[in-house]
Amino acid sequence: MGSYKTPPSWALRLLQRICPSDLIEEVEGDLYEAFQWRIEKKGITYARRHYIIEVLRNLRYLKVKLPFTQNTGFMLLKNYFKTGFRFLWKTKGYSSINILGLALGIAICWLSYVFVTDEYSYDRFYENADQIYRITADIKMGDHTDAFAGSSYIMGEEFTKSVPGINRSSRFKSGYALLNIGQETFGQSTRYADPAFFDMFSVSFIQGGHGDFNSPNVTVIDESTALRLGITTLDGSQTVDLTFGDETIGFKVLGIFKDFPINSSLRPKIILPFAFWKTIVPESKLTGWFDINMNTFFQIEKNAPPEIIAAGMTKFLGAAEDFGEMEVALGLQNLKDIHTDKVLNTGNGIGGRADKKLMDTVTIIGILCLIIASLNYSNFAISNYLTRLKEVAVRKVFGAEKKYVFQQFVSETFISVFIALICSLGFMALLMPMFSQYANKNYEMATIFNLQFLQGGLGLLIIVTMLAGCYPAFIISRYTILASLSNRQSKGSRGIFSKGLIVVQFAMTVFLITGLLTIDKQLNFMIDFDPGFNDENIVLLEYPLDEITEVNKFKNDLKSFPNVQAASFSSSYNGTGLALEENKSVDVRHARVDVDFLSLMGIKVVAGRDFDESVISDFTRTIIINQALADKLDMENPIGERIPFDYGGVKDPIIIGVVPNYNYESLHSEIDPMLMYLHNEYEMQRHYIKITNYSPEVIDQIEVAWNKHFAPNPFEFSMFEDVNDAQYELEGSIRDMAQSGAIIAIMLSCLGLMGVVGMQVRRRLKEVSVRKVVSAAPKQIFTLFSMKFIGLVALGFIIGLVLTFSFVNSWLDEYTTRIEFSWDIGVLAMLITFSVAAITIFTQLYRVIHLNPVTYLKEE
Amino acid sequence: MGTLEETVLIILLMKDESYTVEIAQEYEKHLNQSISIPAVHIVLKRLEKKGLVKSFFGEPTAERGGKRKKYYQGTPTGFKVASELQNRRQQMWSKVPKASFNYGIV
Repeated sequence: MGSYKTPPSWALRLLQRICPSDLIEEVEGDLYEAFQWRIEKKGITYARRHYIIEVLRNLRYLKVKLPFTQNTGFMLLKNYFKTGFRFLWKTKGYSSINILGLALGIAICWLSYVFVTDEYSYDRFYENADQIYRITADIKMGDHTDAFAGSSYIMGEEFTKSVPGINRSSRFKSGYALLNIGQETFGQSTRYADPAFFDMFSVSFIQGGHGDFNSPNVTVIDESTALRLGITTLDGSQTVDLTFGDETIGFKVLGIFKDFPINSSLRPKIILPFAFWKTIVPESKLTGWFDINMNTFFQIEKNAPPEIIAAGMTKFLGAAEDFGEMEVALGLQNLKDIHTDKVLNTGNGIGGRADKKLMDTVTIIGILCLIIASLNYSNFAISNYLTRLKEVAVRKVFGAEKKYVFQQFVSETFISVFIALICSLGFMALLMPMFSQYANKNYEMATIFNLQFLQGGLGLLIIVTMLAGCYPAFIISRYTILASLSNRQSKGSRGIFSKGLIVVQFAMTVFLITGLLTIDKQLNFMIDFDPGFNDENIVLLEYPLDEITEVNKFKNDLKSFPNVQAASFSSSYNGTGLALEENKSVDVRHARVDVDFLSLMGIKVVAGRDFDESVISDFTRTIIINQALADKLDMENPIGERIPFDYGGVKDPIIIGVVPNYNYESLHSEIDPMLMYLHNEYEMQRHYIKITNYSPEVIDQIEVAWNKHFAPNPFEFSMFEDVNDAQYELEGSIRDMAQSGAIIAIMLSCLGLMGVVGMQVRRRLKEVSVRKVVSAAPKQIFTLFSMKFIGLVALGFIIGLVLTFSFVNSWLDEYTTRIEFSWDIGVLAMLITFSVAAITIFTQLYRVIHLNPVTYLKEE
Repeated sequence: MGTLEETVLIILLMKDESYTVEIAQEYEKHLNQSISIPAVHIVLKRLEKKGLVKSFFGEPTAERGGKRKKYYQGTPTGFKVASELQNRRQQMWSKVPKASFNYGIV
């Protein structure tokens, strides 16, 4: 008998808890021995299974006194549930509509809960998340402050050494290279990190480790990249071959780590050491204090106040560098706040942040739908409970106090809400594909099902029970015995309540509908807005190329194709300060273009002239500015003026032309002052090819030309028009969300309206019969009922409109190019609301209009 | 006394003294049927309460994870009851006709 296997420890612990002390030694020993014996006989799984079963059988020793008998409270509760279920069963039809409506409301709210909690769960799982901060900066110039997140290389180096309170630090930066797998190459983004990164972020390695991570040609990769590269077991000989420019380097794989989870802002796939980055960048990048091109994470000491550390950093920076007029204040942002921050930028290895607007929209829709559904339920419940007044009276006669009646009806609501909660899972499963598409997430029922999800469900259960159940229970418990037995219903307060509910519901529905229409209009407005240039039929290749002679050859090749009208190249729009005299500075955006850029874009030069290839001095010595810059510089006639611009080989250029303000960026921001210059040496990032019309053949031709000049760089294209429209993708998502929300809200509201009208109709069948006998026309009967409700809907409409007006205006204020909240939206919303409400009322009235008076009159 | 109790008692009498796991193993060997340890525990507790068996602790061993064994032994009463039961049953069995058309001819 060598070594003994141990049985599952949790089962053993359970056994020790449940077994009485005089038996434990014997039982534990016996089970242990039997466990060994069963391993020998039939193997470990069999033994383990039996061990667990036998432990569980010891549960019999637990002496729990169950409160089933003799406890009046429990007996009452049992009785409540029993009558509750019976009543639900008796009114199957109404109950099921009611519960399904509630389930729909709950499903919407639950989904929005899932979305919002998911967004807030980002980065919270890191063990050291509370202590990890990244560097941010506020730059103040005059009365203008810029806030951004990022740091330079040297900050990570010096602050760690000199500012007290910082335990560990790691810089983090994104990079780009070509990944060679076999004969093929793929564009691949990489990340750079310092050795401390792995401990700070608790990176768990499946194979190998990160070593000291200080030599240039090593790397660690994640599991899925390893799979892509076909690395299964690490023996130290494997490399990742990356191409930078024209040089291919093999990085020795030190370790394979587990893929970062989806709700992490950082999701590196290939991590390279900064020791390598140092070798490929110019020296100035390593020493410049304000060459902001990476993120730096600090793990600070527990309980150390980040403000004090940030102040220390600012002080240190002030001593190291002179910023002149600028006031620079460094700050620290906690890792957990990065994802949901509204202002500070992401990028440089940090993935896209949550969108607050979308989150707000989703939250509002969720809450409104839940309220509407709960109110529906209350309304239904009140009209149904009235048939139970006698039961309540009898209970009271037997000594039930108000409190107990209240409890009874709340527990009945609880039953319904519980059933609705289960049904809502079905609705969620149905809505899930649509929802995850609008929210840009990969949600599935299986992946969202976790503890937090259940907590949310429990919370909803309690909230809805309170929201929907309290008022009806309160009303019904208030009835006096005499009033309920004689069936005298005091209608007054209840009538006002259900009318009030309809008003509130329709106010919310109108709010959602008008909100939706406004968002829709704003989105269409932005997409159709004339940006000042023509983006049709332009193929866009976004790829940094620095071999300008090769680029020009490529351009000439393109021009020879019959379907290509023009080709042009530009850099992206960068920003810099224009130092004017008297320490005044103007922020200006600038782009490097080539001579064909303006004509390709269809931008007219309103003053002066376009760039001319034949004028040698146009290269690096002249610029074209936009109207905004001319205005900013107060130049009546800017042509021929010199401005103190110094960037990318251009110094103090002359303005040769002015173009109108065109939206070179999305409509979310204003058109900033901008200038363009020519250069034939520096890197170009964007390549525009104007074609006559889109066809796969043209794209094939372009690809062939690309491969001829730039292989192995991968060919990736997009249509410029699509790229521009994609800037408004978020508004599209919000619109889609609001649309679904509005449809569901109006459905739920109509359900409530249907319930109330239906109740009225049932109560007044005899009256209508008499009216019909004395020859009332259907129209009159319709007016008799509908006027009152239409009035309520109208009141709700007005309240909703007023609400929307203030809310939507503040929403629209965030757009520089915006629509006005106009009456056509109001009219459209009115048409939708009233027609749907009228149809709902009519479906209920159809029955009375067509009834045969005899049926309802003959019983008396 | 139930059949299971009787069976366990007989196993105990067979072995002179024994403990739960051994009883379970014997049970499986003779009756070709498995039995769970807690079931044996319960039966032994009942027998002990009725005064048919008595128990005492042995020494701790490694195969039990350092726990002591609890041995059980039949009492004279236990022996008497078991043999009485066997006799009675034997007598009853002898009344069962040896050959009948109902059961097939043996």
